[in-house]
Parts: sequence; C-alpha cells; structure tokens
Amino acid sequence: MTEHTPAPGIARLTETLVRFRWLSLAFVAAVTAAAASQLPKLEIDNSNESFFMTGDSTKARLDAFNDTFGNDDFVFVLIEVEDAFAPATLARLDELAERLELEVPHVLEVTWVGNVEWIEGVPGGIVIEDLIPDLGLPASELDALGAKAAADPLYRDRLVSADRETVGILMEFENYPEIGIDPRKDGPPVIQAILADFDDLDMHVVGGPIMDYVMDMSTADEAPRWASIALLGMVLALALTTRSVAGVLVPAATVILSVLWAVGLVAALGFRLNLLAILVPTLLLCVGIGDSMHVLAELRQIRREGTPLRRALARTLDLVTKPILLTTVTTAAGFLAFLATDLRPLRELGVQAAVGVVIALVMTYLFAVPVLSFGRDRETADGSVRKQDIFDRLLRGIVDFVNRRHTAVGVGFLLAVLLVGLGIPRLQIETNTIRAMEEDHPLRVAFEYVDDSMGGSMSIELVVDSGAPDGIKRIDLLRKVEALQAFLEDHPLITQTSSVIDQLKQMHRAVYENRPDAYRLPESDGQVAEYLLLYESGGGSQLDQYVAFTYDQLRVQARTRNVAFGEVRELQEEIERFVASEFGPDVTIYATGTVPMAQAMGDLIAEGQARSFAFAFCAIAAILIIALRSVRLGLIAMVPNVLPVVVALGAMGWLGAEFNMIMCVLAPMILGVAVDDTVHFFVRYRRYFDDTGSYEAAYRETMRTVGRPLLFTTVVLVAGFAGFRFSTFDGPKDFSVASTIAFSSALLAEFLLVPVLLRWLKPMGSAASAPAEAATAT
Amino acid sequence: MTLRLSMLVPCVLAAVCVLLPAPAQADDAEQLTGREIAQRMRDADTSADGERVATMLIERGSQQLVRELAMRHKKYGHDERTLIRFIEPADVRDTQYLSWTYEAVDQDDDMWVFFPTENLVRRISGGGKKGSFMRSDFANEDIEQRAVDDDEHTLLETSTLDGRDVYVIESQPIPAKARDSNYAKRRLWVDAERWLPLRIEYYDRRDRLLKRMSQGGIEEIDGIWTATKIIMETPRRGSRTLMQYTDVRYDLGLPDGAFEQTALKR
Repeated sequence: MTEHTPAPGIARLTETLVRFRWLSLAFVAAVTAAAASQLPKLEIDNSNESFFMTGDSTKARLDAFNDTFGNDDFVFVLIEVEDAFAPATLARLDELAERLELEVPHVLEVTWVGNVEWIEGVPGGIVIEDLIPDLGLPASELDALGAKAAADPLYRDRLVSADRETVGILMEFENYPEIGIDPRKDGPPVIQAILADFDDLDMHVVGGPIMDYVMDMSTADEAPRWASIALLGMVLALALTTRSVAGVLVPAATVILSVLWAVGLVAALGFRLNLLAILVPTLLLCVGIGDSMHVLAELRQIRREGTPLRRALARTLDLVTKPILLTTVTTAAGFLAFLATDLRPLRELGVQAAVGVVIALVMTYLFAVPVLSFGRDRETADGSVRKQDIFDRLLRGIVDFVNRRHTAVGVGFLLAVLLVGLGIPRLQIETNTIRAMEEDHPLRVAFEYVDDSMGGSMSIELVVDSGAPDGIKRIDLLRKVEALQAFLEDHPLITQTSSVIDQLKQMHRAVYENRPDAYRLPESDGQVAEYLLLYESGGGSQLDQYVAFTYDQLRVQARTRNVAFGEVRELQEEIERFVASEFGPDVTIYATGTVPMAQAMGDLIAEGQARSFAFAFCAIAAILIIALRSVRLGLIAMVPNVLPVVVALGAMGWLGAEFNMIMCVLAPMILGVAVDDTVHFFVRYRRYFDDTGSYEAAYRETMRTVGRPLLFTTVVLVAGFAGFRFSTFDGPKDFSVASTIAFSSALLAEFLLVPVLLRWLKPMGSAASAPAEAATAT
Repeated sequence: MTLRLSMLVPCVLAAVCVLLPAPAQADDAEQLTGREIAQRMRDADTSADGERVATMLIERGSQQLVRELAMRHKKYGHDERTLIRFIEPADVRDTQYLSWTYEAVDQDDDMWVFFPTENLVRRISGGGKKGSFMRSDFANEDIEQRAVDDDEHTLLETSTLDGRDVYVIESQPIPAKARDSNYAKRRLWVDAERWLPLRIEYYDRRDRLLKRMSQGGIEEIDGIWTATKIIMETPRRGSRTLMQYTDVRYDLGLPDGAFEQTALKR
C-alpha cells in the first residue's frame, strides 16, 4: 500500500493542536465548567400542549376552548369505599375535600357529592339546595340522598358510581396566572402530599396535570438512568473491542464532555426537556463517540507500523478528517431533518442533537487529539504487526465469503430485506401515553380504574358555534345538539355525554313538578331563555362550563375510555359525517380535548415521519454525491442507509410494536447515523480503489483498515442504545430494539451488500482503467 | 338555607346605603365598634319603598353582556319585599322575580318566579347563594342584604379614601354561616359620614383576594345618599361588571298588592 503524506493543511492543524494542547485542554475545562453551571436551569415539560408549535391549529382550538369555557385541566381523585354515603366515609371525604380546596394551588373549585347542588320540582315550586344540606344527618337520610344521587344522570358515574362504591373528588383549576416557571406544575406535588395523609383511603388519581407530573418525574428519573446504562454498556463494549485503557477512556471522556457541552447549551438557551428531548444526551453519547473512536483506531494502527507519534497523528487526521467531517455533516443533516415536522419536541430534539454532533467533532480535535498527543514514542519501537484476533479473523472471513459468493450474498440480502420490510404496514401509530406505560404503572392502573368504574378517563369536547350572540338559545339548534348527543351516546367508544341540554331538561322537569315525562327540552326559544335565566340566577354553577359567555357557543363533552389511536380516528370521522349531515352551514362544530389532541399528534407524527425522512434522504444523498463526486456512487452509498430503516421498521411491525412519537425519531436518525459507516467505508474504499484499481482488493483493504472501527462503533452504539431498554414506557424500549436492529443491519449492509453492489455496478469504472479515471475525477 | 334569588332585589339595598341623619364626628369614630359600624350601614336606608332601573354591563375579555332590570322594593319593619322585572335581554323580557326577605336568621326567604312564555308562576326555595348573579362578577350573596350578625365585624383602622374619612372594617362570617359563603372575609371601607361602603375586598379561605367592589356616582336622592355606579372586578378572571342605577326614586307609597304573587301574572 502507498503511504500517503499528510496534506499540508492537516499537517499544520496537527502541529497547532499539539503545540497548544495545554491551552486547548484548559479551554475545554473552562467551557465544561460553564456548561455544568447551566445544568440546574434545565426544566422538564411533558404536557400534550408542549408538543404543538405556536400557531398550530389544534393548539389554537384548545386555547379558544379554554378562553370560552375555562381551563379544561382537572384532577380527579377516586376513592374506593364500601358506601360513599356512610356517615363516617362522608366525614372523612369532607376532610380530604377541604384540604384539597384549601391547600392545592390554583384550584378554582372542588366538587364532590358533599357540596353539589340539587334542583328538584315540588308541587307548585322548585327547590334548589345542596344535595347534602348537612353531613351530620342521620345515616338513613344520608342513605336516601345517596340513592338519589346515584340514580341521577348528572352525578351517576361522574361523582359517584352507580353502586356507590366509588366516589370522586373533582378539582378544577383557574386559568393559570402568567407568573412563575409553570403554575400548572404547582398543584400535583401538593395533591400527592395531601393524599399521603389519607392513606387509610384507597385512592386513584387521574387528570392532565397529574399525568404530566408523573411523566416529568419519570423523565427526570429515566434520563440519568438511560445515560448511565448507555455509558456503562459503551465502556464495556469499548473495553471488549479495544482492550486498552486509552481505547476506553479517550472516547468515553470525549463523548461525556460533548454531552455536557450540548446539554449545558440546551439549558442556557432555555429549552425544556420532555420525554423526547431527554433522548438527546444518550443519543449523543452513542452517535458522538464514533469520531474519537475512528481517530484512536487509526492512530493505533499507524503507530503499530512504527510511525512516530506526531507523524502518526498527522497521518491519522489526514485519513479521518474528511470522513468524520462528512459523517458529522450527514448525521447533523439527519437530525436537522426533524425541522421538517410540526412537532415542537421533535424539532427541538433535531436542533439539539445536530448541535451536539458538531460539538462531538470539535471535542475530538480540542480534547481527544491533544490527549492522545501525550503518548510516548517508545511504544512504537517494536514496529510490530498487531496479533490477529477474533475480529480480524471474522472480518477476513467475511471478505473471503463475499468475494467468493457475491451473487448469492447480494440476492439473499435483498430478499431478506424484502421479507422483513413486509412488516412495515403492520406498524400502527399510537399516541396514547397511558397505553405506552407498563401495565402495573400506578398511573395506568388509575386510568384503567376510572375507565372501569366511572365511565371513562378521556374526553372529546365538541364546540357548537352558532355564529351569533344568543344563537344557542334557539330550540331548533338545541334539538340538533340533542340528536348529536344521542348519536354519541349510542357509539360504543363513548361512555357518557353532557351539555347544557341536560341542565335544560332538568329545569324543565323541575318547573313541571318533577314529572318524569317532563325530562325533555322546552318547546320554544322563549322557554329556553327563561329556563337559562332561572338556572343562572339560581346559582347555575355549571353554566360557564357548558355555555359561552355570550350564548353563541355551547360545549358537548363526550367521555371515552382510554382508546387507541386508530379507534379515535374512526370515531372522529363518524362524528364529522353526522355533523355534516345534521347541521347546516351556518353552524360550525370543532373538536378539542384529550382525544382530538392525541389524534392530531398522531397525524403530525405520521406526516413528520414522512417529511423528515424525505428531507434527511435528500440532504444526505446530496452530501454523499458531492463528497464522493459521483451521482452513481452517492446513490449506491444510500442503499446501506435506507435498507436499515426498512429492516428496523419492518421488524418492529412483525414484533407488534406501536409507532409512537419516539419511534418517529427512528428513520431520520438511522439514516443520519448509519451513513457514518457508509462514509468511512466509501471514502476509504475509493482511496484503495484508486491505489489498486481492483474492487476486490479495495474491499479487502477497506475491511482490513476501517472494518474494525466500523464493527466496534456499531457494537458500542448498540450497547449505548441498550440504555433505553430500561424505561417504564414502551416507546424508549421499542426504540432500543429498533435501533439495535437498524445499526446491526446497517453494518451488515456495509460489509455484505455494498461490496457486491460496487462490484456489480462498477461506479468507479472497470477495474483495469480505474486508477486513471479516479485520478481524473479527484 | 335561604333562597338568594332574592338577592336580585337587594342589589338595590347593597348599593343604596344611606346617610344617617347624624353624621359621625371624628371623635365619635374612635368609639364605634366594628359591629356598630355594620349596624349603621344596615340602618342607613330610611326609605319605606322605592324603585329604580339597574343596567349591568358585564365584561369578560373583549366580550360584553348587557342586562337591564326594573326593581321595586317595600319595607315591612326589618323585612322587605322586592319585585324585579327583566327588560334586557329581550328574550327574557317581563320575566319577574318576587321575593320576601326576613331579618330573622331562622326564617327562610320566600321567592316566586314568573315565566311569561308559559304564563306560569313557581315558588322557589333553596340556595344558589354562592353562585354568580346572572353571569356577572357579583355573586348572589354580594348583593343580598346581610343580617348584621351573620358576620363578626372588626374595626381595623380609620383612614381616608378618595378624600373621604372612612372606617376600615373586616367582616368574617360566623361559623354557622361560613358554609353559605364564598368568602372567608370581606374588608370594607365605610364612608364615615354617609355610611356607604366605598370599597369592598373579598377574600377566600386562603386569604387570596377574589374580587374588589368600588362604589361611585354617589348622589343624594330624595334625601338618601345613593351610589349609582358599582364596579365589581375579578382580577384573576380578567372580568368586571358595571352596575348603573337610573330613575331612582324613594318613598312612592307603592301598594302592598304590587308585592303579592297574584300580581306577577298581571
């Protein structure tokens, strides 16, 4: 093989880095200290709303809904009891409700059977009073009131189950003040502390703020765990593959410093972390380590040839600078592809990871190279050839096998990819966070308890906009809304509905002395207006929740069980069809609430996945074509990058995994990371082809030199991504499995398929004329 | 529990605090207790009956609601009867509420509502005291005539507000009444001469300011000092309600028959 003389620029760079190595290390230390000081500023935000971009129509609808009907946040405490209306139980619940009302920040109202209003018709009149006027009533009277409440549609399965064995305390919140870091986060820890004082009660807690709080806690808890396990795995993999102290310490230290810088920058810029963004440190640990590993591997190889340290460093940098620059650009492009999505955390993750990848490159030069320059020249005195180990034998075996059976290898590989890829249509999008939790996770248990005992934990909010003030007082419109409610209640996914229709029916029945047949809508616009006036004058605590201030809009709430994404889509489409057929063009109806938010998120994931993959593909293909100065070569180089995506997604489909937001990261990331192997492989292959003029020889030489680092970086990557397996959520676990499959298949594609494709397609010309052509091209 | 739809009426009373014949002197001020000040406020309206038109402009964000009511009242000792007829919005025009309120704390108020569409009268009993009054910033309890001993009153200080000498008192519901109220306490700035509350702040059980009421447009009408403009603000909700009184007249000699339920259908 020809020994290349380092390019003058690289030689100067090496000389400068070595001469100012102490300065460089001091600079790294200073910036690291500054980055570390920023870490306490990191905040976590897992609210559903945080997923949407400012101006997003889904979020705009939710904001409009909250403006009109008040904050939709609630926390529901469910208590399992023998009888909710037993005197001792009521007294204990009263204590709990009192403390929740007094101590939980931003609580607007605490509602339970102990403080709700009761409207009833009596001969000649209407009684409006508390359901339980006095908690100290005799047990028999409380029992009678309990029977009344459990039978009334306004309270049954809302505040008390039909069997009275489950009772709920509902906390609603004021519109959060625009002060503090995030007022929404103030309540849940206080609620948890209060509930801890009532450990004699068997309780479950659900609701948006609680869910986000638990997610935040999990996020804060899982991120360091993932990173620690990833680091441990990587250190073990490094030890196994390099069997040297420097081989472990230098890459590990380089990447840890890079992650510190990147996370410090994220904190300094005021980004918030969510379950997606906390992937970043672990992701960076994995993808950032490659640069320093390649430098170290190349340096050791060159030094074994007897080259003095500084010259070896210069030669190493000459060999690896172009590929690691390229891999940095391509990986960054892969992550920046997330900017093509409309999901905020994904976009933030893209930018943060891309910046982190660039930092890892900079750190390789500012930290790894100066540290490596402290090595001693006497180590090279033996000038020995390294003893062949199992990895060398494995790589040599692969080369021999592929060169001998290239047709079978190529066809077999492509057929295998096709078979696995057939699993892709089996992947179902899923945005339901609760369903992504382990089955015994307390939050999932609580949500399922609400589903089973209190008629559903999720909701779809339909806002009927009449387009004019007082428009919803029209009886013809109300009759249509009544039909919509009936349609919803007939739907198998919907457990119950509520709207102002219920209040109007209740008032009508009360005016007509509680006759059961009077539980229906009034007859005329005038009656509607008068009953609403009576309701609002008589307290009408729920009016603001169901009717807009100027009576131009009303809200229909439909509660559902914890439904899957696919079911949500069907439900929404059925509602849209009903609305289109029953309501005229002058009435607008839009949906918001937890269910539509989850569906919108799913749509954004599907679109984002497609768009970011297309963006990453085009960007990386363009970079490869330019870098390899050949369209054909660039496109061939894309094959081992696209196939792992197909294999990983197909395999996950066959394994029955669901496609959630974290999995959305997968395809562009695979493209961005797998391309590192390709770049190293192709740059080196091309160089050896220029030297030898032979595809077979170029393959053999490429595998001899970069085969080991490629194998090792893949082992380290897979070991690092194993950190995600230790999550309490399905998403990161599936992500870990899919990444392992993807990176392994990327390496296999590089080692097995690429040489066959190059041999078949001969993008660098025929073997005989190749050196001359290549020389012209470069 | 007493029905507080009757508060519709006491809108009048709350706003119509009247000057006592003998204005407080500065040296008297220090001798009064919180309860005595509350009693003077309660006793300030010396009229036998009266009528007025109340217009409420309720603002929430950029949205507004307008309510207009015609109100009449007549006193029977410490008890009172009031009649409210709705003028705006048009779709509830001529709906009427009649209420008889009693000073005795153990006697429930009586209340009837008349629905013109169905020509139907219904007697109403029960609560809703803490509820919002017609979607405004006033709760029903804000505009009712509270019995003096429903609260414990403490004189905090004497001060001045907008150039007027005031007593600042704090009124906390007695335990038996606490359940019926949104508020743990109210702080009142009471005009030391006219016995009108110029400002009231309402606090919840966590000592958070819930609402603030200011009275203005104070005029002497038929010898009775009357606030003709009341603003109630709810800062945390960003909403406020302006209540304005016009055509205020006192001592008209209104007939008893006008305050009977049989009069509602007429």
